[in-house]
Amino acid sequence: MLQFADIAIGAHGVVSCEVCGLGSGAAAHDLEVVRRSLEDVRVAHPALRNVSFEGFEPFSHAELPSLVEAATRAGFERIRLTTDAGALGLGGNAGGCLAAGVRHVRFVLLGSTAESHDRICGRPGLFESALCGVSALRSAATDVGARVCISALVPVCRHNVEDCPATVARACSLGASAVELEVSGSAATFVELLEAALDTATSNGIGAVVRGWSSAPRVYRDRFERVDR
Amino acid sequence: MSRPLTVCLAGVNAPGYRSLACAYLLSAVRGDGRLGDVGTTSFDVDTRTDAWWIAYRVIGLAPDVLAMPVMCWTARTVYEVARIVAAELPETRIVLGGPEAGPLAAGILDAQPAIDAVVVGEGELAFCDLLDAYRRGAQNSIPGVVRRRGSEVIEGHPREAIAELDALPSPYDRTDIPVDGSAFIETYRGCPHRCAYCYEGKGSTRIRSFGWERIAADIQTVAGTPGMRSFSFIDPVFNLTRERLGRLADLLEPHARRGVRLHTIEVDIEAVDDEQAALLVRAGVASVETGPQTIGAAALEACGRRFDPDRFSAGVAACRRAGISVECDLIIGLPGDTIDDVTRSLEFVVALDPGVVQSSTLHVLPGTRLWDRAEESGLRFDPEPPHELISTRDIGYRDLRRLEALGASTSIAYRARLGNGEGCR
Repeated sequence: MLQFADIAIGAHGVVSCEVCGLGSGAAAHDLEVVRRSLEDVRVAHPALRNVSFEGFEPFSHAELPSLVEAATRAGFERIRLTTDAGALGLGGNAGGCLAAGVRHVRFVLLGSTAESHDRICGRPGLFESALCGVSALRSAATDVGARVCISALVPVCRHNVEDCPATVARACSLGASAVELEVSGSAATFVELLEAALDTATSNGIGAVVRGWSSAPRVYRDRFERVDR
Repeated sequence: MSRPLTVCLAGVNAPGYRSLACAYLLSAVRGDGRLGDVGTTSFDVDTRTDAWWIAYRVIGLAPDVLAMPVMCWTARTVYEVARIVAAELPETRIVLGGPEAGPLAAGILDAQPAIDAVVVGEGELAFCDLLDAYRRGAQNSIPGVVRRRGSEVIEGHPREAIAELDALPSPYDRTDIPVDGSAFIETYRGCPHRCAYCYEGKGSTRIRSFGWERIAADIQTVAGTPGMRSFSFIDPVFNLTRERLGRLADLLEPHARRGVRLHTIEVDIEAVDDEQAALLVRAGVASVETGPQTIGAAALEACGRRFDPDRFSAGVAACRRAGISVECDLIIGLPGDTIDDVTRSLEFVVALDPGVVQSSTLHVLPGTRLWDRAEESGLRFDPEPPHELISTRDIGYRDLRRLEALGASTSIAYRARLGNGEGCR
């Protein structure tokens, strides 16, 4: 859809499949590290106005407001948070991140139901919290008249690939305006399921992109060169 | 023997848009000396109103004649209204016109028994002649009209385009002018371009302009409407010439200074430089609408469009420097375009950072060159209005739908940014 520069705000801290075991040893980067990354992107890609905070749950980062401020001060116009959305509905988080300048939120969905999502990520209750969070963001945006882009990131591995089409359907029902599949490992061999997931997005009028599946239908392939710091 | 007629003009519009058709016809009828005893009423709704409720209003009026302009977006609703009204009021004559009906007149009368006549092309003079025939009970053929006469259908000779536009009564004189942004002014008819997918020029590049005195009066009437904050122009190229743009700016500037703004003004963006952008600002233009529709060379050639990426980019940049938002339009599915052409076109316009990026699927419209050459161009489309594209020679049905979704998502993602008209939905 649009090209974003991925700015690591930490490591191993994004919600993921517990069985695959990628989420251990989470650590946040401090503000100065992120500032330098933002500056590096600004210098190397002066025409790119979009950054995405990755690698760590943003609402668990103690300096999130300062990170967002650093991005706006660096001149970026589209700031995206990739989040489990669990904390988005708490307190004034939704309104706060809008006020800070966030206009893109990409929530991570690992399953179509509370049972499947929470089981895959090993965090009971997260699914329901995420639903509340997405709803809170939408309400907050309406309240202030802000245009936001709420999209879904669906990491697909062999442990959740069978639920993938239903997960995309769930994302669509939550009002995601775009869906991205990140396919890893042997999940790429489940061709029919992956295609069904992508076509589920299309049949809901929602754009879909896939990474990690080399034989994806052409329209669905991510066309953008990865920019990350 | 003539008898008084009652005429209802019902405008069914796409949401956010109010066609000038009913207003022009209403003014023409009221200004025609032959029709002094004809009673007229007019109303406008949009397609969000159920056809049964539109028919409800018409049936309550029980007119002798119901006239409805038809566009591809509104056709299904209009035909449904016609069927319902004809069933309840079989004596009411139902007359259609507009860009969807005119080119298909004979076929519409064949397929839609509820319809009594179709006006082809400009309606003001032809419709008045038809009403005069109705009031006199005359069965003669009328230039520019295809009508029923008993069990047969008679086609009048094609009518020449109206040469003296100033002779037409203004559509604004006795019309309730909306102040919600859906009011449009027309300063000329025709189009300098001949894009194969568009019916605007009606097959001709001949431009017929209203006189400046008339244009000034219409601007004063519309822009001076109490409470008017925003309106637009229907002209397909607002910056037809630098001189014309300057004159329009002179007329609009007093209203612009009061805060009246023009939105989605269609321009030839490749002609816009800083000087033209300044004129647009003086005129109160807040946003313009332009192409490129595609940057694919094969599609541009097939559609008869020229495109210079550098001049296009420069024009967008000039508008942006002047604070004018640019809506860049793309059409998905033009003949000759591949999947890559569509995605590259999306990337091109996003990279320009124009303000708004909008894509839509090709609709093959009656009366256009694409309609006439659809088979040789490899276009498969829905014969029912709004004639949406099914597939092309280069892009299949499923990939077209995927591209539509991609375009829609890109537009949403693009517009979500800091400071983008927030609070001003």
